[in-house]
Amino acid sequence: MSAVAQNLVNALSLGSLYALIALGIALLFSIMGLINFAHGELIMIGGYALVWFAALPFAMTAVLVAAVVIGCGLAMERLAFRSVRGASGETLLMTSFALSLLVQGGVLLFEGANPKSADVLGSLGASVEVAGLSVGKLDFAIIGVTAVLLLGLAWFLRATSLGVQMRAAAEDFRTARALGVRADLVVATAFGVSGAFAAIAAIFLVASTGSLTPGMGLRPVLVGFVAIVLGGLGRLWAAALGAYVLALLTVMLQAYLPGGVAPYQDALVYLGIVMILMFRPHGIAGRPGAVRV
Amino acid sequence: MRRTVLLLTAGILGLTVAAGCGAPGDDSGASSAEAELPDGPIVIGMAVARSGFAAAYDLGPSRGAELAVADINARGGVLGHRLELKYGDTKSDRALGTTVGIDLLSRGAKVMFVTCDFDLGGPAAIAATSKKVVAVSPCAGSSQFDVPTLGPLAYSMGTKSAAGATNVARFAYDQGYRKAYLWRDPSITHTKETCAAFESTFSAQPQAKVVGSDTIQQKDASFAGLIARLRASGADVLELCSYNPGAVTALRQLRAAGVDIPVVSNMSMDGDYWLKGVPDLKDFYYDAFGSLYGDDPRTDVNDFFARYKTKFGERAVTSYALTGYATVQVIAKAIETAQTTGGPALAKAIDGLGSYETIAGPTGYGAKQHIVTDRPSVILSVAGGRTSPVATYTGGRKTKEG
Repeated sequence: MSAVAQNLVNALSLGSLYALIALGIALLFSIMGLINFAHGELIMIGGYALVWFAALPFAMTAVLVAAVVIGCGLAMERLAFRSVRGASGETLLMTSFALSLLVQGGVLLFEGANPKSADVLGSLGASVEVAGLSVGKLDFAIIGVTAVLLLGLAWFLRATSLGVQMRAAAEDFRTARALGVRADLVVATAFGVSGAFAAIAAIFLVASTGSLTPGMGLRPVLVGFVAIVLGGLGRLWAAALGAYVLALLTVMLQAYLPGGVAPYQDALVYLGIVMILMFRPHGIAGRPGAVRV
Repeated sequence: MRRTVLLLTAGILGLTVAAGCGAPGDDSGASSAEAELPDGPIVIGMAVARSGFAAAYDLGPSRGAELAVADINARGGVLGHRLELKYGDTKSDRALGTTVGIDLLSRGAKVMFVTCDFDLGGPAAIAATSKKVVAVSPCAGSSQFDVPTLGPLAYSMGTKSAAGATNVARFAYDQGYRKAYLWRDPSITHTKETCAAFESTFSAQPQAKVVGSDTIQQKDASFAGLIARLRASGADVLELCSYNPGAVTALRQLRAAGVDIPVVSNMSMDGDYWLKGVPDLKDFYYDAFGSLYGDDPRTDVNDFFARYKTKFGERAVTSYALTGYATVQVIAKAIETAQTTGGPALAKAIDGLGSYETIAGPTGYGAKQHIVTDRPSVILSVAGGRTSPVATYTGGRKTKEG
């Protein structure tokens, strides 16, 4: 029983990290139909920014990392995505792929291919016993911060004028514009919020792994995208739900797969997702045609 | 449309004919095989990654080769011929390995120096050996970099993964550890062979056994479940058969979870560039070609790394740089013996060198074994942010303290 509880705690922590990544991607998809594969590169830039500013006190480092990543997100919107706004999904997808490769190549050029290592949030690198379970202090931080951010995002979308405009744009971008919603502001805000989520995900990811490479963004963006599809396209809370379910599947298979089958863990995770989608083709919480934030 | 198709067909035919004529194929290949010695310098083709992810791994051995060439040329070259390195960039792309290899042959390469990995170095090696030119990888550890897979003209200066793991297993046993747990990373042949050899050697020791194992993956973001199983197993040592960046993640989470049993690993953990990711790491051991920190038991190794730093303005990242130097040492000696660069004769000379002393330790090949199996492993210990040698093992036996 304690082993199951331990695995549930592990899944909650991993799911929170996945949720941070998935929400950053889901936000842009909801508003402009963009599956931003360059989101992984924002996380990667956040990772490298952590190394650049490592000598500063952590609070200052975190602020600077957020500023760099949000700045890069806004630059992506202005320089790459604004000119293709309203284009087909394929065009947006190809643009995001191209941007992803461009950014990754740029970082490779300046930072080199060698993996780098960093000790981020090292003070949280210990575990505490809670009701017989061993829980890392970093896990507490990830779970807590994600919960606060989820609630904060929900409040922002429901209680602020800009949030309401974003929800309106997600429902029907063209009509929302006709009713006076400022498209540039709404989209830029979405990129800014998405960038903030990427920055926080980068901090926790590097704190958890201790290493970074120019290719480190690929895995998170795939995980985020799968979580969105699993939860249900177009709903932010569903993306978070998908992230937690994906993490649960991953942790349980890691814990209980027999040794001989363990190398196929990923294949089995995705097999599980395919089976869920067979019964829920629009995702666990999705509805046909539903695109909301 | 028809015109386009015709033009395309003609173009493809033209390219094919041109490739057939221009490739260093029949004529130059045959001349390579039968070559005595060229009039000018002896060219060593460097079919290595100078960009992309593998560039970091090829840099050290390539620079090591440059130092060796400088030393040999300063002594008058080989049989009066200067050695010259000509570079081609495989861009860390398997598919480009063949193209770069062929290009270097056409630029006069008489011996080919290829990437430190079977998958990435194999194509250029095959391009060379198919034209009867000897190819050497400075540090590929996979058992596939050997005669059965690549033929009689391909060599690896690397230590066979299993040989290093055997030394590490014996070291672990000598340290008093009796219950080992394995974390197997199946993503590359080197780590698979490392774990298999560790398991067989360690289990064969009296009162020693492997109490459990798990599969780990490079992309795992969380090792929590595996750490719980390791903790429950009662193991007194963990064999980490993995490489970076995944290995850093595993170690960081292991220590953060409060599991402080000793960890032994393999030579892909060489270098201290990753230590920041696991602060205050201790009780961590791995095998390497040597220590690059100036405290190796061998003076020539310490001199090599000092010269490396002086020439290139930075310290070597790993001790793999030694293998580049050793590769050129072996090639030069074999050319002197064979009096030719022709592949079959040169290979025969390499096979006949016996236990030849190089900067990376004694290196020996046979007609059916073209990867090093009995080179000494320097066991390095990480503690207090410092990496230092604690022992030298050869063939599963301790041969030196420190």
